[in-house]
Amino acid sequence: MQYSQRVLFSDDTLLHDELDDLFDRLEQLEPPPALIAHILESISRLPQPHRPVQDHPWDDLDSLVVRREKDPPC
Amino acid sequence: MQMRERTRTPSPEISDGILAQQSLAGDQRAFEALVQRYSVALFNFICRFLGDYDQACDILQQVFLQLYISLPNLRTGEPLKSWLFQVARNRCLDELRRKRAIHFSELEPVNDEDELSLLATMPDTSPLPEEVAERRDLQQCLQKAIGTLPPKFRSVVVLRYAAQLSFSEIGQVLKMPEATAKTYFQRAKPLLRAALTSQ
Repeated sequence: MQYSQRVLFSDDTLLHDELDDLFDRLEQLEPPPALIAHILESISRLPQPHRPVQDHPWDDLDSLVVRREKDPPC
Repeated sequence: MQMRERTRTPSPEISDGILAQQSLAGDQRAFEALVQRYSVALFNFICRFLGDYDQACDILQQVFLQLYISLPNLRTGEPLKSWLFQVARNRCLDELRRKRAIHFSELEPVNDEDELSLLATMPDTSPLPEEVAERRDLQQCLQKAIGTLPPKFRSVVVLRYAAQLSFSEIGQVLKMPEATAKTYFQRAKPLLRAALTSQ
């Protein structure tokens, strides 16, 4: 098979050629509906994911403070 | 295997971030919406990358399971779409490595028929046998040409042609500048042409 370049501008700022035209004919595959149902069913049986537990909600703010624990108290 | 006409994913009504938050809060329908939104594009990417329908089914499950488990840790600054394709690509690369290891260790000759197994099982929906044969031949040629690409080029080509991502999105998935994604794509084209002309 021979493919010559046909110069066109596409909306994605690259030259669109005959190779692109050819691959535009690549058929889209559908995952089997049973697979999607199986995925959803499997996940519905999993425990609910939780956010990482934060012992103290102020930790994030507190970590911004530079501690000088070895210094004598003021 | 089912196929349909190539269509772009419709613009989402609810953002991925909102759906992820709702999923994390226990809303199963929100997670289902994410699955429905990305399953076709991910499946096409995985299927075309590996050329194996059954493995694509397995990996698609793994990707969504990984999503569910990772919901609490997802960074809000990173697009979910990119994250999903990153996970899918990593799984595909793992699979390629595993296949390669098996092939080298067992010294199995590469069988072209095996590579085409995905396409050999495609259903015939066209009423004319000649059209069916022509279409199947074309799909086989395209899939085989993709299979000749080294992984770094294959990722860009399949993300573009099968998953229909923009170069900006491809750059996000592969963690490279958009311009580099375009360069990879352009460098892959002569390889694809060579693979097609050699058939």
